[in-house]
Amino acid sequence: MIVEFTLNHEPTRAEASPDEPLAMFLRRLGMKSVKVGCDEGCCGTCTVILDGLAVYTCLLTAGSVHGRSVRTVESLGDFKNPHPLQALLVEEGAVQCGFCIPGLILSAVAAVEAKPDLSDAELFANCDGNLCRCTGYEKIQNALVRYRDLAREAAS
Amino acid sequence: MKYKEYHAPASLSEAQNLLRCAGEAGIVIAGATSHPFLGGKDPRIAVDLHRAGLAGICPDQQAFVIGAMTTVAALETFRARGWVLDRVARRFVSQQIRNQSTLGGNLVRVFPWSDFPVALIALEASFVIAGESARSLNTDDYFATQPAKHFAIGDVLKCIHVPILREGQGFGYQKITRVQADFSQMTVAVRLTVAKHQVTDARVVVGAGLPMPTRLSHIEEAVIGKPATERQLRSAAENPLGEKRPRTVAGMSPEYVQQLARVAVGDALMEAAAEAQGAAS
Repeated sequence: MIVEFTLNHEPTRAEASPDEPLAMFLRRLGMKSVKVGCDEGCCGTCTVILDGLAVYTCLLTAGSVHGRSVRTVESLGDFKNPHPLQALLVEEGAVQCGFCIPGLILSAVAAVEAKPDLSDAELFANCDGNLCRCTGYEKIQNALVRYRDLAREAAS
Repeated sequence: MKYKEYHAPASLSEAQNLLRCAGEAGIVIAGATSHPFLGGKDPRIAVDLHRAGLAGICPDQQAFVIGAMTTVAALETFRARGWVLDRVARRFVSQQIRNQSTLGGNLVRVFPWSDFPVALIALEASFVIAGESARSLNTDDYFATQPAKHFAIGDVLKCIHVPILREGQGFGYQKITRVQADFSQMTVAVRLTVAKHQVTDARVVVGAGLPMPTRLSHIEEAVIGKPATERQLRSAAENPLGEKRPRTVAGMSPEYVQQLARVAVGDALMEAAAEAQGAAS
């Protein structure tokens, strides 16, 4: 089947098998930030933003994004020009192995873009589907709160 | 699960036609969150309903009419007088799953740990199935069996009517998990009607601790006609599962499941009684 959708703001057309997991489809299209971890909708490493909402791509098929808009971390920033949240995670020492970080970033960005004035509890609740097994969560939470504060300032 | 074809029709009637043509090979996709866990070696023809116009929440005089493809995230953020499903949605797994999972998907293929059937049995919801002709089932009939058995080929759950909580009614909901995103170990939903501090009607439902969501009629009978006091309500919850055999998983003993139920039923009764008497929103 042919899937036509918007990938990181670019119109995209690609062939997929009817049951190809969205995570593998996106990786095949070069979006290597999309990781497959648990492969059963628990760990959050495969998170992307679909029509403004964070979703697990291991549970969706390629066909489910036909006509829709997908964003991955590749649309946010890179090593030379990091997104503010990427920079804050590094500043806070919140990244160790880094496997969970792309999914975590997308959960936080989707939440803060939708509601820049969300509370700490709301922010953390939006990220509780992203598991980190290296750092503990304190440094991650510090970075998330600083990012939310930046977004709140920008919105006011 | 393997698919040999994948369709995302733009209307309910188109979806029904596709399902009828697919016959036994057809399978409906709502939120798709359970599909990786479904067995079956033969590839299926998937009909994804996300474009079929079945999402949305519309209050009428007596009930909220909820489209079957309404996501759990939408239930969580919706607000109106007499609306309580946000409390159920808030405890539902993770944000990513709330964004994907749909109310209808939770109500057609019911697992022991399913959350919404427990709440909707307590709230006396009814269910509209679009088939050759539309038909409505009340809660007790709908959940009398595994609900998927009500659906013939081409049938689709269209919407759910959830009665608006009236003055004097309260809702209690308790869900016990090891961590937020885990499957439930014990889910309890209660709707109480209280007049002049006496319980006049009660619906008490438990899930996860039993093989399927089940009304606890012995607790309902124990509270109706009695004062809505903590002593009375906790006393009614003393033997919560009665003679029913608890569902024991993850090393939980039957006694432990009974204790979880005792605490959760008691807390849910207290929550519902407080709301019914104006102590909560």
